[in-house]
Amino acid sequence: MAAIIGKIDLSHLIAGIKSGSKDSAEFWIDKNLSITQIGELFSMFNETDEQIGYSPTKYEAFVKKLDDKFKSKEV
Amino acid sequence: MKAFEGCPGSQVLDFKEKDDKVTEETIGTVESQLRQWPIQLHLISPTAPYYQESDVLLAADCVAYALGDFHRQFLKGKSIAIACPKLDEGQQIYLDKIKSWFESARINTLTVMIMQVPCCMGLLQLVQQAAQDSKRKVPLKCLVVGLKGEILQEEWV
Repeated sequence: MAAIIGKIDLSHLIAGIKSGSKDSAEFWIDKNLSITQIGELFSMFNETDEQIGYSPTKYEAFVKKLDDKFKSKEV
Repeated sequence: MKAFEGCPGSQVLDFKEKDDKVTEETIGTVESQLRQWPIQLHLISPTAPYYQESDVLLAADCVAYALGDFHRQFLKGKSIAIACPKLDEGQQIYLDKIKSWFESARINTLTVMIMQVPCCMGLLQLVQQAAQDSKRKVPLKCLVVGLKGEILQEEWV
């Protein structure tokens, strides 16, 4: 089955992940998608984030809190 | 020889030796990839139809002169604006226009092309400021062009 979101075919990304390629994410971003496709994908992720009310700042604060907590315990 | 002490962007350099090298040249007329007018950032309307949902290229003034294949490699398929972060006045207007690209024109991506000289970084900083102030996020790509027309750096910001 073709993995197509909007105008973007993600088959190569999925194939990369299934094959366990370490560079699949980088390969996908930098080599297989055009700038236009990256923009479209980025926009779709943003729209989804808005729909579910995802707030990066909320998690940034949480991650920072954890960082601070565990950094202080590092030797 | 005394080292140049002024602004690196104003340093006098001569690339004449490049003329002696054999380079591949296209025979005939190279077609322009420009698909709009105006192009200067003060003159453009950020909500013009050719910016709507498009991939936009914001280039420092010198970039198109430094790159031999600017139209085919970088301008093709994109809408453009040009500016000089060092000499242009009205940076706040630039900031508002870039922000308007993000929010009103809902551009798809923004590619910033600057020269390697330090003063050119101002253009990237302006874009980053606009992105920070904007509610809508857009992928930003930055390319740094060397004085001899080579791409020194290319990365998503």
